[in-house]
Amino acid sequence: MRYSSIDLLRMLAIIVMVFVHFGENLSGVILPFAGFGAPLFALLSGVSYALWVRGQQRRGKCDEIISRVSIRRGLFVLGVGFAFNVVVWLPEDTFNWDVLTLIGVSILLLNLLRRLPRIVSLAMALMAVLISPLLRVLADYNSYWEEMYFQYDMTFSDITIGFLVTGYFPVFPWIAYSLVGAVVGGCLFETAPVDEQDDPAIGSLFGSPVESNQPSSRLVWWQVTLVPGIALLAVGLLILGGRAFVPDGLATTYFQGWSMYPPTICYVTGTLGMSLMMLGALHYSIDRRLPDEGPPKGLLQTAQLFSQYSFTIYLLHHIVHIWPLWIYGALYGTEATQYWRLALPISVSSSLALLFLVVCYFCVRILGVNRRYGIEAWMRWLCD
Amino acid sequence: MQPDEQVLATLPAGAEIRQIQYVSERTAQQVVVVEFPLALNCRAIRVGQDKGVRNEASQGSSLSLLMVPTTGEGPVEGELGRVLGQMREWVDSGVPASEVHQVTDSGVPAGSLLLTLQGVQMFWSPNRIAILAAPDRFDTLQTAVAEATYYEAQVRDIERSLGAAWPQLEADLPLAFEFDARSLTRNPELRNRFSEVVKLRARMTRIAPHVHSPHVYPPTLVSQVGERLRERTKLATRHEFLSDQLEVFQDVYVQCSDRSSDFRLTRSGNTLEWIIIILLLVQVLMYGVDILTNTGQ
Repeated sequence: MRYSSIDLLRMLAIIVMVFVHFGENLSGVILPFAGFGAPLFALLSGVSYALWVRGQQRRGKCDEIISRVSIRRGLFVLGVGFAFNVVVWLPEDTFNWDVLTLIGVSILLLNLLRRLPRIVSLAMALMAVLISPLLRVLADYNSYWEEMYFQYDMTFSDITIGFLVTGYFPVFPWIAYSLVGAVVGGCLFETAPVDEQDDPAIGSLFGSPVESNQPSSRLVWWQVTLVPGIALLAVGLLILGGRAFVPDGLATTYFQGWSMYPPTICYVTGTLGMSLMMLGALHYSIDRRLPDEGPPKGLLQTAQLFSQYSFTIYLLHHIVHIWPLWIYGALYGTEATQYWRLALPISVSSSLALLFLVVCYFCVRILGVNRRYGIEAWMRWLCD
Repeated sequence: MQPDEQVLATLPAGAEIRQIQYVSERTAQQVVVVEFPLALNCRAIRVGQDKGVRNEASQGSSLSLLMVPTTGEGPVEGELGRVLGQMREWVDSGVPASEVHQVTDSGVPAGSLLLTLQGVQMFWSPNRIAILAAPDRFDTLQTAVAEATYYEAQVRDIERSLGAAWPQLEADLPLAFEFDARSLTRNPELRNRFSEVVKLRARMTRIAPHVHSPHVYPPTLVSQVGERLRERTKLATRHEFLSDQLEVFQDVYVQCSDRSSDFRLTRSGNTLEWIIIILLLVQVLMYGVDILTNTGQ
């Protein structure tokens, strides 16, 4: 049995991501649910990494091999991230630090942290969230952003600061999602059997879940997900509500409102809290209640397929809506990016997003669960 | 008719079966046969017709004594062989038929042992003892065998516990050398096993004064019965072997405990070190970002 909860959440993240990107890039419209997909992806990458490591250990793989494969996979995702930036966002955006580069770095970091006590990962996650506002002040975050678009010079300092603080998905604070995900994955899915059907790793966009047939033995599911989820959400709401009552200095650093760019503490705690609560609720209502026999059916089967090909879908959905935009701009406009955010009304771009998902559904059904195709298969071939 | 009653019917008049129970609770109704040293917290009591006493006593382990008189109403010369045969048969009936002629792991026959001493003939097994003696010696002999049998039962019980624990010990051996985070989940079971080993060791120590006590001088019937039983059941040797075995168990579990404790101490130390490292990294990072920002401008 796979962890259907993770499949469902990953499918949800894909759907959100596709609609948000189509709407934003083709119509310049920020949909109300924008900003919920990436946190889910980042969190699930950590969860999946923890499960993958456990699966490898139970298969008898030694630490050195696990480290080697982890590093290869991390570098692969990082490399694909850069290639994606060049190919999709054009060479001047090579170092815009998209979610793929973040996931690649987080895999490398999680590999270093996996032998350390979980409290170290949690401490790092907490510090990442807490120092990010200060780093943004130091780096003068707003000077890198023009009209909600990350602008940088091809200098070492700008690239490094973009990687750390000011890019689309900088390490601070986004690494916190993967770190928390790895800790939660380790605690929540305490027992995973040896015979998972395939390496999850970072598998699909960042890892598909391993198999399991037993719930956690040490910590109860709600202690790992619901309690911290509610606490984080409460912190987010407190920050939102308390902004008016704190000095200006604090209000402009730690008590900023809900914003993905920059990712404020309120946004990080809120999305992290919601993601954990969803993970806990789905784990309780699906993983622990459904019978283990047979492959999943209906929605769960669809979720599994989308989850297994999430890496490929992530790349593909950008290519299918960005490339036509560049080509059309290059042919009929003054520059390739001329029609970016201006090409279509939101109704049309949303319909195209829906059409893309439907086509994707049929494609992944044809490809099936064997995962012999797609970027995930390349990664396994190259890294394992 | 009860099987025991059938046996009594074929034996000389005056033969009787006595039930002895080993209990830790003391009540006024008890007929105490042997009061063991305080450290053992146990007494052997005679269970008679009194139902209340029998029910209370049934909580402990039991011993059946078949007492057959030799004088007065005892067997005549020609019948002696038949009576002894019946006594042996009664004692052996307490042991599974397939094991009667076997020797246990401790080197003691599973069936009955014959002891002859000062005109007393005795067939002994852990649960059943048949004694052919003068009726005036019944109570004395009852005390002697109840006491000796108790100590033998203790050693036997420890042997059984240790024998069953060897496979587990071998499974736990790697933890005496190496301990990791995954092994921490086994801490409670290791703690329980260590505790069991220490308890067994304590039991061994408590019965040691009896097992290794020198022969009494001048000898009495009671002392001689106890000494002879100790010799025939190889109690001192078995006690010594058990001590050696327990030492191995204790060594392994002490090492497991040390490894576990070392691991946890190191881990908490490492955690603190890592928290300090994280704080230092934060400081370095802020300096770095500050420097990079100034350089960029």
